[in-house]
Amino acid sequence: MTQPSLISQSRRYYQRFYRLVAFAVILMTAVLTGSLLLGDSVRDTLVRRVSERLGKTETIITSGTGFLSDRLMQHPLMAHSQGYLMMDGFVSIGDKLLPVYVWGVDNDSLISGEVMINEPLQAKLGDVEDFVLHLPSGNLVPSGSLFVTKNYATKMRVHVSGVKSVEEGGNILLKNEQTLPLNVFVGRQYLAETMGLEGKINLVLSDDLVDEEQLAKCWTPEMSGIHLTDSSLTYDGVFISSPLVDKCRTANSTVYFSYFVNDLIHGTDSVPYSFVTAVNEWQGEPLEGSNIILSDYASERLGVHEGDSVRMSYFITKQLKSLETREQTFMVKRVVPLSDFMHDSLLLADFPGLTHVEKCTDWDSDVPIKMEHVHKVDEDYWYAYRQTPKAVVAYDAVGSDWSNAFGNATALRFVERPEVSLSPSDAGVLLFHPREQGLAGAKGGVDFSSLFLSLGFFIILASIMLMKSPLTEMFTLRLGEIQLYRQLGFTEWNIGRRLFEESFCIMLLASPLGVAAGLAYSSITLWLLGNVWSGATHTEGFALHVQPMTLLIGWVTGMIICAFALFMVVRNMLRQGQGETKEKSAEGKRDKYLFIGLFVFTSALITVNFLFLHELALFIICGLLWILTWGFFLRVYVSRQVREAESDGKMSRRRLTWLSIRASIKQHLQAYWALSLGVFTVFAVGLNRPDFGRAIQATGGYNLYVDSRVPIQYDLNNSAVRNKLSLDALPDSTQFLGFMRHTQDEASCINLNQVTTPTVLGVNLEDMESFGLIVEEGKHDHTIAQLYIDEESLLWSLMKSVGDTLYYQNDKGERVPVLIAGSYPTGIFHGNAIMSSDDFRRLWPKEVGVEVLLVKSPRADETAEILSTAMSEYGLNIQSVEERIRMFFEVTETYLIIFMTLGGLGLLLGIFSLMIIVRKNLAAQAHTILQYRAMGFDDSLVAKMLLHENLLVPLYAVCIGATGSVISISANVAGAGITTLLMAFAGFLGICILLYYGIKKIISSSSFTCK
Amino acid sequence: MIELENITKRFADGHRAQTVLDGLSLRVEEDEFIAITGESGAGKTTLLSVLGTLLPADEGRYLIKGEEVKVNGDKNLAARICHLRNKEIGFVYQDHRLLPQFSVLQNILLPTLAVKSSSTAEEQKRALDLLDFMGILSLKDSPVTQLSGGEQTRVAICRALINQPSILLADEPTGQLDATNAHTIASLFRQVNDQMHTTIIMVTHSAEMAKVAHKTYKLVNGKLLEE
Repeated sequence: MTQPSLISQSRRYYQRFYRLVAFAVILMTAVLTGSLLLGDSVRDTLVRRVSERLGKTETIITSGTGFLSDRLMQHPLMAHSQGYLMMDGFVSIGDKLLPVYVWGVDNDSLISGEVMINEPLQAKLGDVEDFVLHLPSGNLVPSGSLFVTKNYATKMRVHVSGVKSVEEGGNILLKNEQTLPLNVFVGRQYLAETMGLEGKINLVLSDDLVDEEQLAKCWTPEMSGIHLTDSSLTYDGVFISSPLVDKCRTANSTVYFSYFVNDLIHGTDSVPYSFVTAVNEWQGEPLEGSNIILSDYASERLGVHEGDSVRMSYFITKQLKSLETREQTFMVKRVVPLSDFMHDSLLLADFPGLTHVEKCTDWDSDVPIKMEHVHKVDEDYWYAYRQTPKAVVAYDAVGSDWSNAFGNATALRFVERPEVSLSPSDAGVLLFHPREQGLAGAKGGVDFSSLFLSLGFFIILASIMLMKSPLTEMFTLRLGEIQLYRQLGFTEWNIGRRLFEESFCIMLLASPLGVAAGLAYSSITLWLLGNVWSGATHTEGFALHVQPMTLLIGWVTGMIICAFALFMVVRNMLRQGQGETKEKSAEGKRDKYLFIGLFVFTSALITVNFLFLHELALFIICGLLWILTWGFFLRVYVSRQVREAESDGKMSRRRLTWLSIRASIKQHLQAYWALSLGVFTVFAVGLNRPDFGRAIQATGGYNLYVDSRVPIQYDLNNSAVRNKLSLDALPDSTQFLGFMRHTQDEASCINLNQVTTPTVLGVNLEDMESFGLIVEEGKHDHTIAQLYIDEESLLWSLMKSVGDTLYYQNDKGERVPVLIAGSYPTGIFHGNAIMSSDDFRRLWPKEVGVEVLLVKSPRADETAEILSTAMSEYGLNIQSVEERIRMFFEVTETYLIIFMTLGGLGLLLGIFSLMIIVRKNLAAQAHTILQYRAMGFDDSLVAKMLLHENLLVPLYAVCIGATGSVISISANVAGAGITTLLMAFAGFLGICILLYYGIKKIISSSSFTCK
Repeated sequence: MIELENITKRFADGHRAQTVLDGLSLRVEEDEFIAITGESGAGKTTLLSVLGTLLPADEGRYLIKGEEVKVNGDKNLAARICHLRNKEIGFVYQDHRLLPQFSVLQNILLPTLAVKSSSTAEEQKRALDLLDFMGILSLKDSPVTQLSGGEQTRVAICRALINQPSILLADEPTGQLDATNAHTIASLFRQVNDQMHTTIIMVTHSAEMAKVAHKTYKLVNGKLLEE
C-alpha cells in the first residue's frame, strides 16, 4: 500500500465531489484562457487587417489637393510602386448610397466601362452587375475656389467584370481602421479620361521604404503642374500657394492675380464681366495704391482718359462661397493698347467654366452672372480676345480680397530665374509610412483580453465558488478522517499535503480540458462578435489565433488560482478540525461600531453625492459601501440574537433559526458577499445604461445628420443658395449647421485600433454650446491649435486626457501640435474631434467646404427627402440624429448585453454553488435534524425551519445587492428607463423565486430530512 | 510508563470557562491495563485526548516513559509529538472511524503511512497477522461499510496496533456492541495486553468491560479515584 494508491482510492470514493470540482476548474480555465485567446485573436485580426489593407505598401505618397503627373512612375526609384488616381465616390443602389473608394489602377484587363470590386462591396451589391458610380469632378483647379463651376459630380455607368480578392489587394484602405472598405477598381486611363485628368495620378503606393530625399530625386515641379521657367512661374491649379509665392518671389519679380470682376464703371458707362489682373508692376513701372491701367478698348467704352477715376466692383468670398460685393475706385494711370495685354500671357488665367467657352452665355460659374447685362459688344470682345484682361490694377489694392485658401497669385514673372530648389512638399506632395503606425494602432487597440476577463470576471468568481463548495462539503464530511489522521500521528503538514495532492491532481487533470474549452469559448465568442454581437465591433472575419504561450499563461494562471483556493479550503478545514475557539464578544462589539460608522458614512456620502456631486464612480462606491454596511449589520444582528438567547434563556423557533445561522455564520457570510456582489454587479451594469435621452437632448434641436461625400461649398442657410440648388421646397425655418472635415481616423467605439489622430470637424465653437461643448470666455489659447473630443473617444480610442497634445500634418506637410483643450458628452459627434473654424483653416486652409451638416427642420422626413433628391450628386448620407446616436449606443449596449449574459451566467453558477453549500450544511446537520425528529418535531416543521435557516441570508443578500445597484445608478436613473427598471425588477423576483424553490427542493429531497 | 501530574484542562464556553480536569494525577505502569469510568460529561474523552497528545493540558506535567510531553505551537515539538503518537499510541473509538473509501486491510495499514509514503511488506504481514489474531482474516479485502459493529471494532483495534504501540487508548470500544460482541472484544483487549504487552487505558461505561482491566478508576470532578 502506498500513499499515491491511498490518495487515488480516496479520489475515486469522493468522485461525485471531484466531478463538480473538475467542472468548475474546466469552466474557470476556459474563461481565463479563452479571454486571453480572444485578446490575441482580435489583435491578430487587426494586425492581419493592416497587412490586408496595405498589402506590400511601405510608403504612401499623396499629391494633396492637386495631382501628379504619371511620369513620376517612370523613374527607376519607383520600380516597385504603383500610381493611382484615387477618389472618394459613391454607388447608389435603389434608395441606398454606398460610399466607396474608387481606385484608378493601371490594369490592362480593365477595359473602359468595366470595374472590379472587392468582396465586401460584392456582398453589399448582391447580384447587381451594373451600377452608376458617382465621383466628384476632377478639376485641376480646386472646386472650393471661387468661379469654379458647381458641377462637382461625375457619373459613370460601369459593369462589374470581376471581384478582387483580399490576396489581390481588394481590401486596400489607407485609413487606420479594421472595418472592411468598399472598393471599386477602374482602369486609370478610363477614369482619367472621364474626369479630364489624363496623365494624372494623386496617389503612389510603394513597396519600398521611400524617403523624402529619394522622392525629391524622382520628382520635378512640372510633375505637380508647377511650371517654373527662367522668366515665370505658373501652376496648373491656377492659384499658386502663398508659401510657394514667397519662396519664388524675388525683388524684381512681378506677381499676377487674374480675376473675374463684375463691372468697370465710369459715370453712367460700364463694362460688365471682365477679366482684370492685379500686378505689382507693369512694364517695369511699379503699380501701387489705386492705380489702374486700362486697355484702349476699355478706355474707349468707358470714355475715360489718364487721370480719370474708374470704379470696379467684384465679388469676394471668405467662406462657403457666400458672396459679398466689393467696390473700389481707381485712378487711371495709363491707357495702353489691348495688344500689350494680349502679349503678356501671364495676365491670362484659365478658370474652368469661364475661359474655355465660345460665348459669354456659355459661362458656367458659381458667381451669379446677369446675362441681361451682357450685350453684343461684350460677345464680340469675347469672340475676339477671350479672357484678355481689360485692365490691370495694383496688387496691393485687391490682393488680400482676391486671395483664397489655395493661393495668392496666378503667376509670377522673373527678370531672372530665382535660385530656389523646389521640393515635393512645396507642391503639397506628402509622404508617409503607414505600416508602423497601422501596426502600432492595431497592437495598441482595444484590449479584448482585459475586456473579456472583466466581462467574464463573475464567471471566474462563480467558478472558484463552485470549486470551493464541493471541496468544503467533502472535507466537512471527512473531518473525522482528518481527526483520525491526527490520531494516527500524521502531522498537519502531512494531512494537508495529502488532501491537497488528492484534490489538486483532479484540478491538474481537468485543466487541459479547460484549456481546450477555452479554445471553444474563444472561437464561439469570436463568431458571436462577428455576427450576433457585431453591434459591438462592426467587424466581420475575426479569426482564432492560438499562441502556445497564451495557452500556457491561461493554464498556469488557472492552476495558481486553483492551488490558492484549494490551499485556503484545506487550511480552513484543518483549523476547523483543530476546534479553534475564538473570543466572540470582542468581535461582536467591533462589528457593531463598524456597522454604525459605515452606515453613517455611507448615508452621508450618498446624500452629498445625490444632492451636489452627481459622480457616477462615487455612486458605484456608495453601492459597494452599502453592501459592506449591511454585511456588518448581518453579523451584528446574528450575534445579538445569540446574546439575547444566552442572557434570557428563552427559546423560540425564530431564535433557533438565528442560532443555526450563527453556527455556520462563515458559510452564510460567504453566501452573502457572493450573492450581494453578484446581484450588484449584474444589476448595476444592467441599469447603468448610457443616457440616450440626455444624448438626444444635447443636439441643439437639430434632427438630421448629413454626411456629404462631396464637400458642399455653399451656405445652405442662404435663400439664394437654396434657390440655386433647387432647395426652395425646404420648410422656411430649416436651419443648417455645417462642419468642415479633415478626415483622419475614425475614433468612435466602432474602431478597435488605437487612434492617434481622430477626424477633425471645423465649426464656430459658439455653435457647439448646445452639444455640451462650452468654451469659457478667454480660455481659448490662440497660440496653439486646440480641439475638443467626446469623453468616450478620448478615454477609449485615444487613451488620452484633456491637456495632452496630438500631432497632425497640416497642408504644408508639417507635423503640428494640437492641444486637447476639453471634452464634451458623447453623443452625435462621437468619434470626431471638434476644432474652431479659425484653427481648422490655419491647419488645413485648402480643405474648404462642409462635409457634415446638422439640419434643424420642423418636418425632418420631408427635408431629408428634398435634400437627397436635390443634392443627389453630392452623395448625401442622411440620418436622423436619433438613429446616429443609437448606432453608437448600440456598441455600448452590446457590450452591456455581453456582460449581462456572462454576468447572469456567473450569477446562476453562484446560486448553484450556494445550493451546494446548503446541501453541505444539511449534511453537517444530519444528527441535529434526526434529533429534531426524535424530539417529535413535525416533518413539515423541520423542513420549514431549515428553509428559513437557509433562505433568509441569500434573500437578504439579493435585496441588499439590488438596492446597492439602485444606489449606483442614482446619477443616471433617467438613462435606465422604465422598461429596464421593470426588467431589473423581474430579474430580482426571478432570482428570489429561483432561490426559494431551489433551496426548498434541496431540503425536501435531502436524505437527512423528512423523507 | 505514563505519568500525569496535576493535570488541569479548561474549556471556554461563551463567557465562562469550564474546568474539565482539575489537578488530575495518574500513574500507569508498563503492561498495565486500566479502565476509567465516569458519568457522561465527566471528562473521560478529554482525559483520553490529553493522554493521546491530541489536547494540551493547561497545567500539569505529562510524561511517557519518563519523557515529558509538551504540546504547544512549536513546530519541531509538534512533529515529535506526531511521531510519538504514531509510534507509541494507538486509538480505538466507539464509532471506529474507519474510512469508508478503503478496504479493511487498507484501513489497518493507514497509520504506517504517517511518516513514509508506503507500507512495508513486514507491515502488511503484521496487518494480516493482526487480522488473523482478531479472527477476521477472511474480511481483509472487504469494504469497511459492509462489516458488522463487532467486526468494525476489531478492525479498529488492528489499526491501532499496526505500529506496535506501547500504549493503546480506547474510548468506549464496545459502546455500540451487543453483550456477546462486547464480551468478545473485552477478551481481545485482555489478550492484546497479555500477549503483546501493550499498556491499555480504556474509557468505558460498562462495568463488565471494566472488569477485564487490572485497575479501575472513576473520574469525578476532574479527578481520578481508584475503585
